[in-house]
Amino acid sequence: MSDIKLTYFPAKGRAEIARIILSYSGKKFTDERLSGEQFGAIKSSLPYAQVPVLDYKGQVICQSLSIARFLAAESGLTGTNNLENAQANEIVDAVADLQNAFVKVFFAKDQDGVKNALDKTYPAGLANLEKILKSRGGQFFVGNNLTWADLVVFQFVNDGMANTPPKDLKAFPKIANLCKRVAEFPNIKKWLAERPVTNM
Amino acid sequence: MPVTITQTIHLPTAQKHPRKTPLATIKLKYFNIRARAEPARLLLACAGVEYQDVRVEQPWLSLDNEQYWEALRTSLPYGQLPILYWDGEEIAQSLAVARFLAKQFGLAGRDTLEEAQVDEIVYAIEDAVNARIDVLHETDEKRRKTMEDKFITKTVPTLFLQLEQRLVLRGGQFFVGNNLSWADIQAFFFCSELDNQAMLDNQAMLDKATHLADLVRRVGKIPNIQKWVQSRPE
Repeated sequence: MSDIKLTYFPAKGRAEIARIILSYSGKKFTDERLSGEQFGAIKSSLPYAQVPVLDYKGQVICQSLSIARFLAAESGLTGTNNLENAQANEIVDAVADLQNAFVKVFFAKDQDGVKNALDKTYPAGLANLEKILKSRGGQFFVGNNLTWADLVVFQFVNDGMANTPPKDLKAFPKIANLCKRVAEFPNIKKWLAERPVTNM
Repeated sequence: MPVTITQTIHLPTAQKHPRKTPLATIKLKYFNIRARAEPARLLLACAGVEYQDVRVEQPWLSLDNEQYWEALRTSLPYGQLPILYWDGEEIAQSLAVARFLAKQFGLAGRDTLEEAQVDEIVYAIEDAVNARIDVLHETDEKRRKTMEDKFITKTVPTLFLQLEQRLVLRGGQFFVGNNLSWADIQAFFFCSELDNQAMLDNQAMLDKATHLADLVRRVGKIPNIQKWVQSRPE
């Protein structure tokens, strides 16, 4: 039994980035996945009536990005000074914008909206990120070494939301190269091979 | 003219250094070989900074070269190369040069403990590097053969297994702090030099050190390192 427990639905969704950060760090964690019924039973006891929730050695943290940022900080993946912290947060926020844009139209069953997100919003967003990656030397997004910014972009490119990742990365070769290298980290490779397959 | 000056590979755009002078003038001077300057060159490549890669033709190749070198060495603090000039400040001793660069580029560990962990790996590898150089410099043919055999059958395999154990102890992905550091680059340097010299069946030995082999492969795929290895002088 680990003293780190991440609770969410049986999905990648808003918890997968935390799972990837935990996997990379090599820290053992309990990957708790609740059915709808199980969630319903505990919902009112949760700080914001939502998941994901992180129980970290007895401390409870909510809000998916705060969970991820905390786990990244605990694993030395938030940059080496305040400026790098902010640069990483910036990338994460930019990716969150893209994901939220998609999630909005996806759950509204807005087919035109989904098409627009995939054909216009995602490529435009990736173009911005490619430019920034290039300006930082092309190897990593922040401080020329791995941070959670790289893992966030990787997770977005690899999984997307609702199993709908960006269509292709031909126009974003540095991002493609980065993601290829992230996938090769032994712990990431292992997690991707072993994690449950979900439809979201 | 014995001195070759190479205006270095301008690897993908200037790296911003939050701590130090972003546009330091950097000059590295060594012979036109890899050997004791290559760790510094790899670090500079990884960081993507512009520098002058000054190469003095090997004194052992011609009398002209030797005379040039003998004159040059009188001006060097220890009569040796490599030497680094960083904004005009002179730093000698190959490991001091590399450590300084690693620190400048955030690759020397993030606290005192990590710095020591990096140094430990570097010194362990340096023992083998020095053993290799001793083999090269041995003039007695019989003794040389003995030393070479020892290097191939004992020194290197032992080091590989020791490094593998250290790496696994740290989580198996990187030697220090679960992120890239000079320690990983030094391991890449050592392993790729063995490959280059085709002196050993490197792969057979690395087969036992699976995490080390994977690390070396991954470091080699870092864009600037890959680019430098492909484009550096022979």
